[in-house]
Amino acid sequence: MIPLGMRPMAGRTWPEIFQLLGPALGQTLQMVGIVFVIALVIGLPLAVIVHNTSPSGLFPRTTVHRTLSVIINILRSIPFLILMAAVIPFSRFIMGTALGVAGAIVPLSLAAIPLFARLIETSLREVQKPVLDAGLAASGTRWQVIFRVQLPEALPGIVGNVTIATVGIVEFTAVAGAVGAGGLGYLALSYGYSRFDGNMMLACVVVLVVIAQITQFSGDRLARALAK
Amino acid sequence: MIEARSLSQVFGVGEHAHQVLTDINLFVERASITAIVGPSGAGKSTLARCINLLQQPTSGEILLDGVVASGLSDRATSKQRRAIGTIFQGSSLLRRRTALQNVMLPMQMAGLPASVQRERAAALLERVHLTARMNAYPAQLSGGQQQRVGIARALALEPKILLADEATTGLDPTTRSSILDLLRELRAEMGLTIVLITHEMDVVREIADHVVMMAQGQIIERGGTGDLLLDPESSLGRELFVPRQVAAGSGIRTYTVRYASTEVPTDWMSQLSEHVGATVAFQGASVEEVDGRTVGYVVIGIDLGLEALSDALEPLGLRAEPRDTPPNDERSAA
Repeated sequence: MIPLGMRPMAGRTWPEIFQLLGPALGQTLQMVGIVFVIALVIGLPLAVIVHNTSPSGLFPRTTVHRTLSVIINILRSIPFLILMAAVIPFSRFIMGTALGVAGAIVPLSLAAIPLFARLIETSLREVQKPVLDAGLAASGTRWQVIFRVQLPEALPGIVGNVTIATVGIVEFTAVAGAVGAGGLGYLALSYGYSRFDGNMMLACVVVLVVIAQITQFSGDRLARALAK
Repeated sequence: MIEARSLSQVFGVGEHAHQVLTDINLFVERASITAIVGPSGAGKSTLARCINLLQQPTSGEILLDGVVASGLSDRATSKQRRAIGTIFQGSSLLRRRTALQNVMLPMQMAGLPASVQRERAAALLERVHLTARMNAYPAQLSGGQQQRVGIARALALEPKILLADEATTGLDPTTRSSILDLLRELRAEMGLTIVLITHEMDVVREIADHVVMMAQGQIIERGGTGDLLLDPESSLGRELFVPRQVAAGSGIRTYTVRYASTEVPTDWMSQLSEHVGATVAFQGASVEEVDGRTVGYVVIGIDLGLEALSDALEPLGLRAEPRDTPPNDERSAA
């Protein structure tokens, strides 16, 4: 294999690149958007349950806590590329296909949900016991304390951690692109890498970096605005 | 009125079982201020968590105004907690709520109308002299101000009982006094029954009518604060007033003289000197008024044996013990 830099920077012209880049960016944003919503909708309640069933939580249930914790750990420990290949049958069963954006949603979600859950759980843990006790002593039920005390108090931390996790999803979509999900990752690998198109590679990398930067920047801004 | 009936608390099971409270019986009168003292690990905080119903005792029960309040369902317990306001140690305020919103929290939990919440919270903050800081976040308030917000929040549901768990710990003496003054005023205004969990003996002397001393999960002594301070046999009384180290005079014997009666004449030192015909060297003292009674101790140097001195002091309502041997020795030997 000849390293990228040894080849002349030949390949598509910039107008051609932009033509391909547009739809690919759309696919990436679509995947990130859908997976973000799924991961938040499932990951947030999961985090609330995992944290509050722990011995320091509001309704300690050691067995539930351990079981969920182990499942999350297992999913978190599988490298995404392998997870992607491993769940192809499951993906086909749920989405009807293992290809394209639709085919990538299942593996991406399976990677993002535990990531979201773990990071949100970390933020919940930062709400100190005396503050929760104050909520209970203020005649709140445990659910009231979760919704009126625990989640609102943890919100700046949750936003910060969800931002990190979202940048993680962008990364996952690029890997998913390599195995046929489309998007910027696919473009970068199939044109930029396989066909030695340096400009295409550069364009994809720049766009991915910009997406990550915008995500991180807005997440940080929001977290700061929420913190008091 | 709070009553604890043979309360026991065990944490853990099997060989990890750890008995934190053993057969606690407690009766706190309405509109009284009771301090629960004891070393850390004595079970004070666990008892507090049983009283404010944050924890279910392993056995025994808590009665509030004669009605059993422990062992109820989750929902019923939340409701019962409205009768007790709790002030926690340090800041248990919600960081992302203003002072006003923090005071509104209990009323939101109880589902009071929004207009009532706002109005009552503002009135309570006025009561604790924080109207000007109503819209400040906890991070913008001093420790004393945060504790005032905590008190206002504890009063939000108009409880009959106020429980303060180390509420003055970590505050400077001036701030602590102003918080204690506020509690005293609140008791007078609202007829609140106040339970203080503390390890600060100054706080007890300053405010408590009754003291309960705990050690290793049990109540080992209890009584009226003034009575205990005048009782030379009371170890709790001694601990409420720990004698300072005093430089010993040469050639004479030093004694700690404790107030053991309410009838001690103010000129007792000259009376003593006249009576025994010896000079009394004054070496140090800590005497103050608690509950309308003069209590404390005076360290004197005198050329007299313990027996003779005791005989001379007894009619004066005082009690002497030699300084040469530390007063703790006889206790640990017993």
